[in-house]
Amino acid sequence: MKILLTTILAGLVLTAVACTPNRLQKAIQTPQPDAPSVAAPTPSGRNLQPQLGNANIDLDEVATLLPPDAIPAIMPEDVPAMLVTAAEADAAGMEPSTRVLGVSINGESRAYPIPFMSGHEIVNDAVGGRLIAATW
Amino acid sequence: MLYRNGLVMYDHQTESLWSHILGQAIAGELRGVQLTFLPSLHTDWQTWQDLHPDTLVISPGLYGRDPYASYYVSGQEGVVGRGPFGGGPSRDDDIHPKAYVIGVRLGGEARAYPFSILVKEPVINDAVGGVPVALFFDTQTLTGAVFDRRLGDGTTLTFEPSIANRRVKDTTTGSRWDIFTGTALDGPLAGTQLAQVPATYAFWFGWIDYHTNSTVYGVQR
Repeated sequence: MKILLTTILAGLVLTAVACTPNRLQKAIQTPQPDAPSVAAPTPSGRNLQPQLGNANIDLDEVATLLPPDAIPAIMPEDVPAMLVTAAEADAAGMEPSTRVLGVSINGESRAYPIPFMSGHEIVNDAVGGRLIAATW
Repeated sequence: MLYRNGLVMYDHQTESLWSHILGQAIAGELRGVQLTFLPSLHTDWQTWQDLHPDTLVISPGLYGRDPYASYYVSGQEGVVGRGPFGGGPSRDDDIHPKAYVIGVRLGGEARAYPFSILVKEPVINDAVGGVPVALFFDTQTLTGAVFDRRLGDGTTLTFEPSIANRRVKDTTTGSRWDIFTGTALDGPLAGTQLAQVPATYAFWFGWIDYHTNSTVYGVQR
């Protein structure tokens, strides 16, 4: 259980990720010039299927369309280098209308742009002393 | 991996599998363990930086156009679609599957607040799972926030039905509150902070597939 202390989930749970499987494949295998964050898949080789052996849900409702890590989650150690201030983001052309997931904990605030979340789905981060996962 | 069209995550420590919408492990060593949901806001960048000028943000150089932009406005329900394989339980379509809702779970109860109702009723005094809550919705930015209406001294507030400049008054003291931060800005309660309630921003199908007993505010189901 102590392991969980490192994986507290933020209340950023949103909608089911979606688009057609083909479109999803295309999106992540064919980076568009205007979508540099959509990386080519780099499956980790992990096999998560055995874990389903004790699932408490109906396995008919589970679908595996991509191998583990094909959509790369962001690890905590990678986040600091990705962050900029509001002024820097504006100067770099961030649109005021861009949707974001915002969290503010103990006076520390973070915004995760939705287009970025669509390319990564999970950001493991530390905000205001709490270890969180923003998920989309 | 998807469960009912929603993301399944794994943790590096045990490789247990987690439903991100439920925040709960559905398989593996940690099966059944529930993570703690934290309050958040789904809004636009301008609104967020106005609220939190010192915020840090993922650099705009690290992403481009949202690959799901066309999906948001399509009729498609998830990657797998509806049905017995991955699409969740069957249900009546009294609400459009792709309608946006704010979902609240408290005290074992789940309730959805459709945007279609929130735009007409941007202040809602309600109770979910026995907890008095207020929903505030900004119709300009389509941003909603949920707060516990109880104060530390046991007082339960109610709020007036209208919002002006992202401020709302409580009917008890007439104090004015910021609808996104839940902070009283002036009036007798100035400086008081309401506790924000974690909520889920979702398509209707994404909410009801995981909260099959959910009620819907303003809709008899």
